[in-house]
Order: sequence, then C-alpha cells, then structure tokens
Amino acid sequence: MSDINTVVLTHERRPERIVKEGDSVVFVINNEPSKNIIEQNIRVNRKIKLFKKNSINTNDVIGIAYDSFLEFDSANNKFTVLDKNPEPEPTYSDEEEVVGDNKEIFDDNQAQNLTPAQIEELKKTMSGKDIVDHIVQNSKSFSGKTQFSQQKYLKKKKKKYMMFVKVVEPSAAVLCETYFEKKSDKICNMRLDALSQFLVLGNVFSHTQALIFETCSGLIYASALERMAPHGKIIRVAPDDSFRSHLNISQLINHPSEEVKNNMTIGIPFSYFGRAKATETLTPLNKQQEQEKSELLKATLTGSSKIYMCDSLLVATNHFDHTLLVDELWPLLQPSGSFVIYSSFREPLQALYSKLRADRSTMMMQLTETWMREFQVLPHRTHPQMRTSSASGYILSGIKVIP
Amino acid sequence: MDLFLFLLRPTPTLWTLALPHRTQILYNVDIGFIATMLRLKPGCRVVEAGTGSASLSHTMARIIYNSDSTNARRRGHLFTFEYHEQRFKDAREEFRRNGFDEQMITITHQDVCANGFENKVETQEQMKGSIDAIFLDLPKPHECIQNVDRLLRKGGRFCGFSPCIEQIQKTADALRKNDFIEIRTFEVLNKVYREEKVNFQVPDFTFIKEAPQPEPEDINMSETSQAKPSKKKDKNSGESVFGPVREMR
Repeated sequence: MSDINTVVLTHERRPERIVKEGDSVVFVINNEPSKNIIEQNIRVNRKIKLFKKNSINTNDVIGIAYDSFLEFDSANNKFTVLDKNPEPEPTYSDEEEVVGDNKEIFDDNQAQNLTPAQIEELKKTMSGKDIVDHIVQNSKSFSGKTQFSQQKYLKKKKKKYMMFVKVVEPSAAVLCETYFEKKSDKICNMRLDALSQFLVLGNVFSHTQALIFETCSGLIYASALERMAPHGKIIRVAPDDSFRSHLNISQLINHPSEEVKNNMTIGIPFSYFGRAKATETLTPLNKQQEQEKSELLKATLTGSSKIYMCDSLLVATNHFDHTLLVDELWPLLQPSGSFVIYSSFREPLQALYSKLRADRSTMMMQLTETWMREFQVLPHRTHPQMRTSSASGYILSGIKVIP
Repeated sequence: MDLFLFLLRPTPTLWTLALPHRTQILYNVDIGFIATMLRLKPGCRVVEAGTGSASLSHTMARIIYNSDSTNARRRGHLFTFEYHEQRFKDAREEFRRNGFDEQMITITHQDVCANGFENKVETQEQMKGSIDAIFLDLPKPHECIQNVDRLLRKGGRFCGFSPCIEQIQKTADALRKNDFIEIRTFEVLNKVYREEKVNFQVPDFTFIKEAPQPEPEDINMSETSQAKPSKKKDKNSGESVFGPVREMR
C-alpha cells in the first residue's frame, strides 16, 4: 500500500549534449590530463593542433555529441567519430594466469625488423591500426613476451601511431585536473580532492548566498556556479585592479550561460569595503548600479540590512594575507554559516586558526589536508599507481558562531 | 564548570557527523570526492543503492535539489534503494523530517541486485537512458552493472564504493564487459592537523647540572591527605605548533 502521494515525474530522455559553435571544448588524449587541450569558443573552419604532427579541423568536431571518440582517418585526412571505445581494457575472462616471463628477452634494439624510414613510408598509405599490426608482425621479441607485456607494447604503439581523441564538455572538475597537471600555480596547486573537499565543507548549494574570494583563475567561482545555478547568489570580492581579470576558468564552462552567471553574481571590489567604513561623505560612484551596491554593502556591514549576508565564506588564495582577508570579510558571514579557507601553504592557515580560536568565534574548526592515491585495477595487475601527487593543499574550515 | 550549547543550522555535512548510525557510513572526505567525480549539480537524476544510514543521500539530495518544478526536465531527483526493512523505514522518516519530500527523494524497499531499480514513481523503462549518476555501496555491486548500464544516459557516470579490493576488481571487470570507459579507482584520506602549545626548553650549555636527588619518602603520609603540587601544563602558554593527529581516516 502506498502511503505517499504518487508523484508524477515526467521527463524526456536526456537529450545528448552536442558541440555547438561558441562552446568551449576539452580534447582528452590518452586519458592523460597533462595532454588535455582546451579550446575556448570553438568556431568553424579552424585547425586545432592536437598531436605533434596533426591538427583537427573544427568542422569535424562541431555537431558531434560530447563524450564521443574521434579517430584520425588517414585515407580521408579527417577525424571521424568512432562508435565504440578504441582502447577496451582486458577483463578477467580474457586473461589466464600469467604465461611466460622476460628471462630470455634481451633489449639490444634489434628486435624490430622495420626501420624508422620504412615506418614513415607506411604512414602514408596505411591506417594507424594496420601500421601497428605490421610492426607487431615484424617484431622478433613480441611472441616471447608475457601477455601483459604484449598489451603494454601494443598500447605504446597505438599511442604512437593511432590518433584518437575524446571530446569532453568542460566542467570545473576536468579543468581542475587539467590545470593541476599543466599550470598548477594558476590554481594555487589545488588538486581535485582538495576542490571536492572545499565545496562540501563550504556547504556550497543552490538557494544559498556565497561569498567568494579567490586567486585560482576562476576555478572556485566556476565550481560554485556549477553547484548553485540557477538558484543561488554569489558575491564575488576582488581587488579593484584585477576585478575583471583572472577569471579564465569560469569563462570555459558552457553551463550556466553568461546570462545566468551575471544574474547570480554580485561583484564587489575591495574599495567598497573601505567606502563602507569612511566617516566623511564620499563622491558617489559613476554608475548608479555600483553606487547602490556600495550602499547596500555599507548597510549590511553596519547591521541595518541583511542583504549581503552570506551562508558560506569561500576563500582560496596563495597571494593575499589570509588573516587580513578573513578579518575584513568575516562580518558578512551569517552566524552558523560555514567558512572554508584554502591555501597550498600551511603557515598562514595556522596563524588564522590560532587567531580564530583565540577569538572563540568558531565551532568545529579543522585544519585538514586530503591524501589521494589512484590505483590501477586490471586482471592480475592491481596496484597503486607508480606516481602520486604528494600535495593537495590545506583547508581551514569551520562554522561561525558569536562568542 | 559551565556547560554551554550552540544551536547550529543543519547542513548535510553536519548531518553526516551527527546522524544515528544504523550502518557504517560515508564521511565527508568520500562524500565530497564522490560528488565531484559524479559531476553532481542541481537538476541531476541520481540512483543510489543501498541507502544505509543515508549519510551520502542527504548531501547528494541537497546538491541536486532544483526548485524548478515547472520544468520537469530540470528537476533533480534521487532514487534510493535499501533492502533492509527497518533501515528503509528509518531513512524514509529521516528524509521527511529533514525536509526532503517525495518530489526530491524516492526511497524504495528493494534488493536492487535481485529485483532491479523499479520503483513506485518510475518504471525501469521510463528511467532507461535518463539517469545522470549511479552510486552503489553494496556487497556485490558487479551483479548490478548491466542494469546500471541500461539506466545511465550517454556520458552518465557510475561510482562504486567498496571496502575490499576484491569487490573493486569484480566491479571493474563488470564495467569493462559493459563497455564503460575512464574506469578509475581512488582512495582518499583526511589528514587533520591539531594545534598545541609547547614550551621549548632553552638548552643550557654553561653549567654542569646534576640529576636531582629523589625525595626521601615519608611512609606515614597517605596519598589523599597530601596535596601534590599541580603539574598541569598551562594550555595557553608557549609556542603554537601544528602537527597531524595520529590517524588519517
């Protein structure tokens, strides 16, 4: 017997997301984030360099579904959509116990019959897959290898001679991983697990108001937009001189749209905080909208309004003094609101921790670091990855209370 | 001694720390990572089994909550399944008391490995190809993967949580047989730092110090009658040092 009212959930099957002109797109190569290529604002009839000797024509990309694989078809000199995974991984039923070992294999560079020049010739006529097959046939040592060794060999050759790429829609997570591998200082070395902790400890949700200060090229702003759109408000604080810059990552996500982003965001430059405290009358700001914001900020700080009071305080930076920042922004955080302060350095967070503890203005305050390890899970070959990043950054989190 | 109480506004992260445990639960480290890897956002349609003590359920439901009730396509929903009857009832009651109504969460008393993901609100046929994310924390997740594959939309994501590596291996195998890609396995741990005040002694290199002589014991004194000089450290004096707490959990 149903003791709940029947809820009718009507939905259409989720439409496939298609690459549109003007979208930002991420090209994933070999599942290695360090090789990801980001193309902002994709336009027709352009070439994007993906491989050392090969570019992709944007016409091959626009109109296909995200999460598709594209392979280079040398016969037609274009990239075509594949209908299945080009690199399926082995399952237990494919594998028996390990057969053979490398006792008899001598690495003297004589195993391959084909010369590099011959292989270059093959590239002109054969498809990538056929080249790899040809190379395997001409390898004297291949049959003597263990099946795992053979798979590793094949994988290496495929990587070299077969060109395929996955087309992915940018999200804060993908961009975080990409930047972490390629330009980690642009995101204050924030690793993906630190970002995920940051969002959860900060209680970043829709229908809340969040106060954000960051120098991570817009990564935090983008993550918050994703978690809060369309119902949520973000008060973005920044120094006056870099107010419109250093937001690259937030411009790379296709959702929410520019219109929604603008509706959700209230930008407040540093100087407005100074204005709010000024005792003498100041000349009004040029734009009426800006003057209104300045007055509302003052009203909130003096307690006559709650309009800019926030449910979460999110700070992520390596470039500004954390204690001085938090000092200034603290009054805008609601009591019982959450705060998360991120830095890849522990010392400034320690100083802030000591200060907040002495002020007795927090509950459940914690200084944490997350440790992450990735594993390779393959039949008979499960082990932690050889390389693991050692540092994800530090997070000071807690709840504001009135002492 | 003064006792005091703070009343805090509930959040999913606080709920995870406060909820009554009916099973082992997921803590915020894993919850945060799962939410990011599954790309959860408002409007997502998510399937979860088993509900357990509903720790993860609360955070997921709060993330996917989208009050756009006019556009059903954008409305987020959590379909969660629990095969233990009492736990199912407890979770259902908790959802209700915590403000998650049936528009947000559909909890079903069912064993998904045996009977699939059918529920009162949508048939499996209706759910087919429409789910954005599926999370399984089950003893045998590999038995559900075919069903999981059917329900997920293209680009939809699966996450399995298992304490044992054998389960992970079987699940990875099942995912491969069903043509899943980007199969990755992670372990995340939280390292907490704690502040302590320490007085570092100044080493004295100038004088010869002899070890202090032990005090002669007076056999007639009882322990209780003699107040021992307090040796308690003054907690607020000294340098502030931070070190990790003993365990990473």
